[in-house]
Amino acid sequence: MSLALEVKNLYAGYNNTSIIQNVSLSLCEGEFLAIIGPNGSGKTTFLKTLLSLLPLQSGEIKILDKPHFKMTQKLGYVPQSADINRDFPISVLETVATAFNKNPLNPFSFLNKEKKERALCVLEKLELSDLYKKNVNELSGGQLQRLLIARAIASNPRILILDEPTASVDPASREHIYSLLNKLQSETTIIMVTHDLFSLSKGITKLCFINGDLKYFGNPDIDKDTLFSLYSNGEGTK
Amino acid sequence: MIDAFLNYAFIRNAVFALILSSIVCALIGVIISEKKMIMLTGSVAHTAYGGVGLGFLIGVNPLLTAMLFAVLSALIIGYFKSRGGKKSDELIALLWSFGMALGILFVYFTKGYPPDMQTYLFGNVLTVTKSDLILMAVLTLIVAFVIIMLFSDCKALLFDEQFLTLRGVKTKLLNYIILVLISLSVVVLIKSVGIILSLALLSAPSAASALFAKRLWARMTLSFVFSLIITLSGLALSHFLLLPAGAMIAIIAATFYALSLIIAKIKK
Repeated sequence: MSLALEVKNLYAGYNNTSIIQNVSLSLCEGEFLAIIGPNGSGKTTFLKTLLSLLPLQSGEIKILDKPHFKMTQKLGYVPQSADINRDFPISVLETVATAFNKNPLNPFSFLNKEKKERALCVLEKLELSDLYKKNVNELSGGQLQRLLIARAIASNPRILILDEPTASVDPASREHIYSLLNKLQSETTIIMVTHDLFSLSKGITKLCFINGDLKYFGNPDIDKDTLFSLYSNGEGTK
Repeated sequence: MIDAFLNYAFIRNAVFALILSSIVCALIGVIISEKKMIMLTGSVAHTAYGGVGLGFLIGVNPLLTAMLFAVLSALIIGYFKSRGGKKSDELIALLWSFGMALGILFVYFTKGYPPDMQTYLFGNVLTVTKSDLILMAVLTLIVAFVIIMLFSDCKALLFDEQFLTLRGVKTKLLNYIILVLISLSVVVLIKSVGIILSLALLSAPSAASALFAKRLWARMTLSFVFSLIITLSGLALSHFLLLPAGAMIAIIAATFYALSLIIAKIKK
């Protein structure tokens, strides 16, 4: 199976401070990677570097065998819900349609019939088609997360990257989100940052524990004691 | 008031100037409010005062030089913001004072009788000339055309800029375009309500429309209607009460927003 992601000796962070150091890992297409670690351990920094939103300080990232900064349009990103302007007057349908903006600028790119149908098709997949007229600020936490996933997959990404998709959602919504992600796994590689250890039993194929550097990368069937020791002192099997 | 409109060219000019001001307030005011750029806009407006002073000093239409200063200051702020400048807040404050200071100096060095700078600070829509009106119309057309043309990108940018960047859209360029449009809008408003009072008209109608409209286009349309009500009633009241129009418009704008808040609360 070909590689979806290859990271070699990555150092990244803000200004001259490296938040993550010497991280190397690889992921095959169709896999589902969960990235866990304590608060401030560099999980989001790692994601933002993959997405080219942060420059890498040294090392190399290849996505589908090409330099990562040339491949951003092949990535679908689901941010934390706190990162979006939730009070903005935009409908569910319009939100998904923002994924169709892709050129340097999109003059006179209005929401036509073809775009509406494409967006509705994606919403159907994420079981949100009934809500297409609703405003984003009328959605529950779980519905909003599903909408952000719908927007990310609307551009047919090769890799779906999610930043804590189950934070601040109720258990039923969390279960729903995992079942949808498992369905999507047949079409795309998934990389997910999470604090939710419950996710480890939800179709994840690789687990990565970051705490500055890479503390663990491998099988998600990790025993509880090892996981506890990783969280408590940042040490583990590498 | 209708008699005055039919009989006096300066009243007609004032009404047309306020209609143009309402268009830019509706379009750009909503963007300013969603991007939380009202202080940045204040800085751009006050830097334009330097341009007004320069216009008097070198003997050209002060609105043209005000436009130059406004665009330059917006681009400088945009440059520092795009580099993630943590000091952009200080820069906004410094440009605010610097522009005003330059304006005062330029006027000081202007030969002859000192020009009436109050007209530019607090506005006097009754002094709008035909050439001012033509310039305002051209700027309003540019602002309206660009926003309609890039409506889809603007909407996506205001909702989630990071996502749009990942889609390959040149968000930095789009932000610069928005800053230039803000500068042009400020110039449109200088003669109507003045540099200082322009903030009231750029914030009140868009903030009030946010309480009632559920879509961006609806918010812009409602904001236009609110701006028209505020500016034209301000002009009418100032005409009957013999009070300064700019001040009346700003007071009505603030009152209108307060009333909108109460109505929105009752409706809930």
